[in-house]
Amino acid sequence: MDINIEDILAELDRDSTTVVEPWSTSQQMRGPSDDVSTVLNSLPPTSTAAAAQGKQLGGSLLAREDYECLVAHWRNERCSPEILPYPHALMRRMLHRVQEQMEQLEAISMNFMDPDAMAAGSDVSGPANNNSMLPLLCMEAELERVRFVVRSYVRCRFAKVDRFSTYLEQLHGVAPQQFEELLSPEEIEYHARHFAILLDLFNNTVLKHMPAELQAINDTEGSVNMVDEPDWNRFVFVRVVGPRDGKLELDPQLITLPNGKHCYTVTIPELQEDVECTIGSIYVMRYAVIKDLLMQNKVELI
Amino acid sequence: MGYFDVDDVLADAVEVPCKFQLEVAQVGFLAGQPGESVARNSKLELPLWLARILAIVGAGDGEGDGDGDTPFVELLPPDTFAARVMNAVKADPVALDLHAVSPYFYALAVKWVNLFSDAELGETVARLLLARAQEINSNAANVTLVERTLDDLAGPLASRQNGVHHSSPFMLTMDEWEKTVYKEAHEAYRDSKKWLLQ
Amino acid sequence: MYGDLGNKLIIEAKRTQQLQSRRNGIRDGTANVSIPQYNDALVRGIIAEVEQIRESGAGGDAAAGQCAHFVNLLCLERNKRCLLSYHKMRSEIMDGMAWAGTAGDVLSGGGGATDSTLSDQLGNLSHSEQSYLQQYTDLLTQMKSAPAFADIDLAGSLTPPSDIFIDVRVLKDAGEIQTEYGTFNLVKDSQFYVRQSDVESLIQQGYLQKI
Repeated sequence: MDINIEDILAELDRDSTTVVEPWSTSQQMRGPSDDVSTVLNSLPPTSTAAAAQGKQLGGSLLAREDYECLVAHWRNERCSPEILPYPHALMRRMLHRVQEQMEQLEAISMNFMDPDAMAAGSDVSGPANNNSMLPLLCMEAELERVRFVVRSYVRCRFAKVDRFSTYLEQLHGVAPQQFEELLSPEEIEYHARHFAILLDLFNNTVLKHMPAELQAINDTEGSVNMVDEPDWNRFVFVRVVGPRDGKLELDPQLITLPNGKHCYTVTIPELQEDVECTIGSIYVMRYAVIKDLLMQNKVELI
Repeated sequence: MGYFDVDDVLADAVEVPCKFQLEVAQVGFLAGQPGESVARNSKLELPLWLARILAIVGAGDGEGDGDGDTPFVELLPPDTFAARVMNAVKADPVALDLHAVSPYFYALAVKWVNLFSDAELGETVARLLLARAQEINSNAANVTLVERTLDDLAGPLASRQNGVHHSSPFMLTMDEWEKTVYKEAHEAYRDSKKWLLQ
Repeated sequence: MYGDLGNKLIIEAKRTQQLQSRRNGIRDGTANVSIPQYNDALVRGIIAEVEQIRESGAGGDAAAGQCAHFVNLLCLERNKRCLLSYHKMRSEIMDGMAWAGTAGDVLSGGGGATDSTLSDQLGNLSHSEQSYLQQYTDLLTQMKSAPAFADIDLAGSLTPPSDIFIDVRVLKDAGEIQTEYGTFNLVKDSQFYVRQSDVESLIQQGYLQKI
């Protein structure tokens, strides 16, 4: 084989371009990827060689955890009736990695073409080259999958931004700080511009013909409320995962039942009922009931 | 729900019987007699978007004071929720032709329960849904996947057959909301089957 | 009776929605290239009704006048809602066109393609709608090339990738298409073995069909 698959995989692991930056404590969503030092420190540095390998593994562990975190965010976003807070740092890292990987793949396939063409003096699509192209194809497949997850996540959020246009506009006026943490800068721009052109369309076709008191797009005083809020009472499927770092003892909200199982207690207001949600179980509830736990990553939507 | 939601707008167009509690001038066009007044105690069918508000707002006897105002109309139970319909619902939910009763039965029921806090109606409709949901599910689970080659050759015709809707008599009796439930269930079954056979 | 025209418009909106979802289900490339004719007559009729109601302007202090006032206000609100719902529904179809990449063809009057259906579509949009579609397409183009999103192909496929290379069949003649990996001559019913990510946009626009 011209190219050793081990070399390529080692290249992937050497994630020396991790974008690590200080994050504010006010950020609500804290996945494990947010705590870089925990990951690296948890590897036992017994010797220099092991330490070096630990650093290498740390890099790839971080990448893998980031990816899993992204998938969790993606799943939650698709199942949630509202727009969840945007994981700014995580997305920056993932997008950076995608870009890096694309450049790397191009470089590898360039290297591919030249030496072989020069050596064989023929075109590159022979069977011998298909064999050595296998690692390249694997990397491409993986890249496509990551790109897909990112794309689906971003598109899902864009669709929600469109659906809750007037609600977000309201939020922007009332709580601008919260608004900026909720959406990425691109989403904020998309929202502002799309809202403007849509308003233009409505003004020109409908609203300018209406009397002055009915010309608003966000009228909440009329017989039907024009601002569509997310449906906080929608039923969702949740799975209880418990505290992210696995430290069950340290979680103040966790209660230990007589049978030894750990659970969170949530209250259903309409039924005046308390429900004990044990770790590992799946429940169907109104979104509003488990929203706090979701924000702390202790449950996930499925 | 939603201001722009087409189904919600359509549901609001359903007409309900109203009894005018006051004599009202200049609204004769509601009864097809423009320029005339509508007398007290006269009954008219008005669309829900109109009736709903007129049942809340009203007028005093020339005082203009908010409290003690008589609402302009009183909403009477529509035929949709008449006794004979309710009996049919309780007797055999699955055999009932819901579409004939009202194409927007569930939407109407939700609005009505919200307006009048009619818990009994809510219960009855919930039990109706439970019984019919099982029927919808068994209809939706009936999925046949046509092979891909056939799909290509016959073009759009075969695509329609892909996951064909076997029309059982029950399907014609569904109201609009049940149809959306059926559609989603059917697509879910079709997708899972496709994925399983991949 | 006031509101009847509004109801007609909403019924048409519902029919359009059903047609659109049926097209999306079939996936033969027709979903994102057509929109029904803008019902200018009905819209204008409703706006005329709005004018009429405003002019009739019932008022007065007596209970009688108050009710008429409410009725008029509610009719105006109802017409406003019907109109807005119709236009919103159409704007969503146009959004679909913009994301699928067919908006460019529609706006240019289908001049590039040999397919005549696209050239009719421009006439189906009102002037305001054409302006909206143009502006939204521009917005999307900018979003897609934003530094954050440049690598992920924002308008790409929303079904998970299965194979790197796929077989595709050409659905309509489109002349020569230049892609990253070479030029393809798109003749109806010919087949190619290509990289999926390259041809995604062509599949969305309805030129190719995955086999």
